Parts: sequence; structure tokens; C-alpha cells
Amino acid sequence: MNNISLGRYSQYDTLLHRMDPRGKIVSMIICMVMVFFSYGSLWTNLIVYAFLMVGIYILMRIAHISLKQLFKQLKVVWMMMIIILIINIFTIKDDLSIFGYVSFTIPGINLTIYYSALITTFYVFVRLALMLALSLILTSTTKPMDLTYGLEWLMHPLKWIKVPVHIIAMMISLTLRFIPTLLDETDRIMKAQASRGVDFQEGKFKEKVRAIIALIIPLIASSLSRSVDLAYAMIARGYDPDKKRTRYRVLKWHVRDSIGSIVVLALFTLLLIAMIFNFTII
Amino acid sequence: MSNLRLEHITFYYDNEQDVPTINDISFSVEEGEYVSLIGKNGSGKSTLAKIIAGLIPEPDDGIIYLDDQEITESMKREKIGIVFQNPDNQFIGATVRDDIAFGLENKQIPTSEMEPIVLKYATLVGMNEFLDKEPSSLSGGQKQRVALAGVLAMAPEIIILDESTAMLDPKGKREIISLIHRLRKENPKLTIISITHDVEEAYLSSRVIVLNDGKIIMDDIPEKVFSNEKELENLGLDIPFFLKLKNELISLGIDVGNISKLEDLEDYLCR
Repeated sequence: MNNISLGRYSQYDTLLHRMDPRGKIVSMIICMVMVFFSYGSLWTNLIVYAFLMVGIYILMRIAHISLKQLFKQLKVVWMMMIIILIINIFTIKDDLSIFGYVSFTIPGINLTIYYSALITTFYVFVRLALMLALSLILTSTTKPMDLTYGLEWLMHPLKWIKVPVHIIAMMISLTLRFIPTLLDETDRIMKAQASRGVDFQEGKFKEKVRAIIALIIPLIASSLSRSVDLAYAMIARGYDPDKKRTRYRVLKWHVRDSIGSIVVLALFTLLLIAMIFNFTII
Repeated sequence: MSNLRLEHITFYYDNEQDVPTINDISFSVEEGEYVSLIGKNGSGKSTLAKIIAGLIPEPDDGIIYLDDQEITESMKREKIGIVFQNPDNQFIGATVRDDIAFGLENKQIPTSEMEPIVLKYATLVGMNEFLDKEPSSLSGGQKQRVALAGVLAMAPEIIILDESTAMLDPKGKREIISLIHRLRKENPKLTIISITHDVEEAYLSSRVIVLNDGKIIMDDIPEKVFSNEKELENLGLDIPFFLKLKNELISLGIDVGNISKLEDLEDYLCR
């Protein structure tokens, strides 16, 4: 459980840590959109992705996030990638003029695997990896409370249509605050169940399902009990969702935030123009 | 500072209950008193604490007065603070400073005035060097000190400690108990109501109320309450180790005089 670092803030004093959460959230959303764009030809796509990868890697280094941490997150998506690959192999039959196709003959089955299937899967993998890396950068460099304040500020216009923005922000903040606590709790329950003979690693599918149930039920029960205690603690300290609150942390926008946001926006505009005018590098 | 009075409080968790959880309880707590409420599991201690703090619906019967005025919801929020048992479940902020500031934000204290208050109470509980630490990097005792700072920052006149040392290790427990005694010395008008299982802790208070099945069985100074060893035993309660030792020494014919503290008894025996 300690392998999961998504949602955990790391205490460093870097440029990214010092930046305003609003700028970081907006920049992350823009970067995610850039990651999901398709830029025309295969080579153009690959070059843009390589460019984005380098950029995101530099940001990871600045934020003191190692590739190892990212790979730990990617472990979760391996199974998904294999399933997507299998689906793509059987469904994508488009020929790419530059490569043609490759054909594997497995005894008994004559299976034709097209390059487009492999490339589409590769795109999905790269997009997911980059998206995870961006989320990791945001959550590692932004305190949950700042993230909440940033989100609340950005969602502010929704108040006009009666969306309870501050309640949503508080829910997000509490969720982020309790991620490490619940991970520790999960670890504790797993150890307790393992000491009673529950095996989470080995066994048939049915046994694994049973093991997961032995983990999930106590975890839900404990989470519900925690939420009741937390609600009491919040009420006792005067929290009323319908009342106005002042702010301990006030977000301050600095020149560095403007520069960072302008760089991301400029990049986004460039890529958007390239995409609209179908600009092909190769 | 306030004096709290409960008159004929009766409370049922659900209408089908034959016997109420709190059964016609009346008592008052003077300003600056340190009262311990003890009793076995299910005796109604925590329910009573939540009724006083206004965390569960109004009692089915009875009235609570604060300074001879019937208590209102806003008075409860403003004048009564409560520290719960599990230090993890009451840590609301992402860091120590955010957590201490949470109540101040709810009280609508201006932003510019918050920092000195946060610093003052973090220093008071000895957590000023951990202001930017997250809860996961703190011990149980430290988290409980932060919870206490968060409550103190709201400047309550009465603090309820709802088994707030029950989940702590001996070191954490000692930290919290000594902190409470220090707070009382620094602010003699601060009223403390401690809900506890720990008879050693209760012995250090100025008054002990024993609850059983939602009723008050005893209400006196600790020395008198804990002199009823047999009666307490029947209620599933123990007496402090110091008193057990003292009684044993007396039964062996050793005169220990009027010693009232374990440390003094240790000195006496060593001599």
C-alpha cells in the first residue's frame, strides 16, 4: 500500500511547490488536453509526444519525482493495457501506408497483427502514462488544502447556478486528507487478515475474491465510523456548511505563476494551430 | 468563565428503548473545576458528553444551563470545546497549522489575525516546531495535542475530553495529562470535564462522578469516591494503583499516614 504515492504531498521547496495551485490545476488540465490531442500523421504525433514526455520529465525532476515512482503507478494499468492491446489486435485492421502490416502465424490460427493496432495501444499507454505523471506532479507539489482552495476558486462561477462549491471543495479536501489514513488502515487490515490465514497473493480467483471481501468489508465499516467521528469533530469546531467561513490560507498569484501559465498556454495555442491547420512535421 | 448545570437530563437513542441511555441526570460544574466522569462501557458517559457539546439531538427531557441561562446551540459552539478519542478522526486540516486554524475559519476570524492565534496555541501544546507536518508524520500523542490546540484556539470556557487518552500509548497519555494540568495552572478558570475509563487519570481531577446505566451513582472528591472499593468493583471499576498499594500497606499494619500521592508514598517507602 505504501507504493501508492498518487494523492500524497511531498514536502520540498521547489519552484513547482511554490507555484499557485490555480495556475497548476489549469496548466495540468491544458497539458492533459494536449496529451489527448491527435496531431495528424504518425511521426508528428510521435514527435509531439516525445516533446511532451521530455517536458513532463523535466517537471518531474524539478518536483523531485523519480521515474520509479511513476512506474509504481503504472503497475496498476498494465493489465488494462494488455486487455486494450488484445482488443485492438482483433478490431483494428487499418493498414498504415508507411509500414504495411506484419503477420504472425500461430499454429492453428492465422492472426494478422496490424501496426495501427500496436501504435493505437502505444498511444493509449503514452497518454495514460503522461496523464498519471501530470497528476503525480500536481498532487506531489500541492498541499491538499491548497488544491482544494484552488479548485474552489476555479469553480467559483458555478455558485451562480447554485452549485455548493464550498461543500464540494471541503469533500475533496477531506478525501485527499484521508487518503494516507485509509491506505494505512488498508495495510493494517491486510496484515490482520493475513495473520488469520487470508492469503492476498496466492490462490484461485474465488479465493482472491474472498480475500478482497475480507479486506473491503472492515475497511468500509471503519471508514463509516471514521466519517461519523469526523463529522462530530467538524461540528464541535463550529463547521456549518451553510455559514460563511474566513480563510487561513489566502492564495497569492506571483509573477512566476503568470510566466508558467503563459508558457503552457502558448504551447497549447501552438499545438492547437498545428492541429487545426493539419501541420505535418514528417 | 462559565458554570454548567444539567437538570433532569433524560435521553433515549430510540423510542423502543425501555431504559433511557441517560436517566434523569442532574449535576452542576463550577467554573475552573476539573470533573472526571467514569463508568463502565455503556454507562452513558460519552452520550452525556455529546449532549453537553450539542452533538446529538436535544435530550428527551431536562434542561442544560450555562451561567443560569438555558444553553443555546450557538452558546454550545462558542463556549464548549470537545476533544475526542481517536486522534486521526479529528484531524481535519492537511497540516498542523491548517488543523488548528479550522475552528478559527468557522468562527470567521479575519485572516490577518489567525496566524498569531495558531502560533500561540501550537506553542502552548508544544507543537510549534511541527506546524507544517501532516498527520501521518505525527504520533498519536502529538495528534491529540494538535486536537487540543484546535479546541483551545476557539477560546472555549469548558473543555470536554471524551476518552481523549484512551487510544494513546503511555507516553502520549502522560503528555496529554500533564498538558491538561499545565493548562489548568495557566488558566484556573478553565473548566474541564473528562470522560475516562482510566481511574489513575480520574484520581488527578478535583471531582469524580460515577455513572452506571445512565444514572449518577457517586459524585464526590476522588479520595472519597475511590474509598468505596467494593462498590466500585461491583460496578466493574477499579481503584487507582496508589490507593490499592496504600490499602494493602495499611492491611499489613504499616502506617502510611495521610499520604495522598503515589510519588510521596514511593518516597516514604524508600525512606
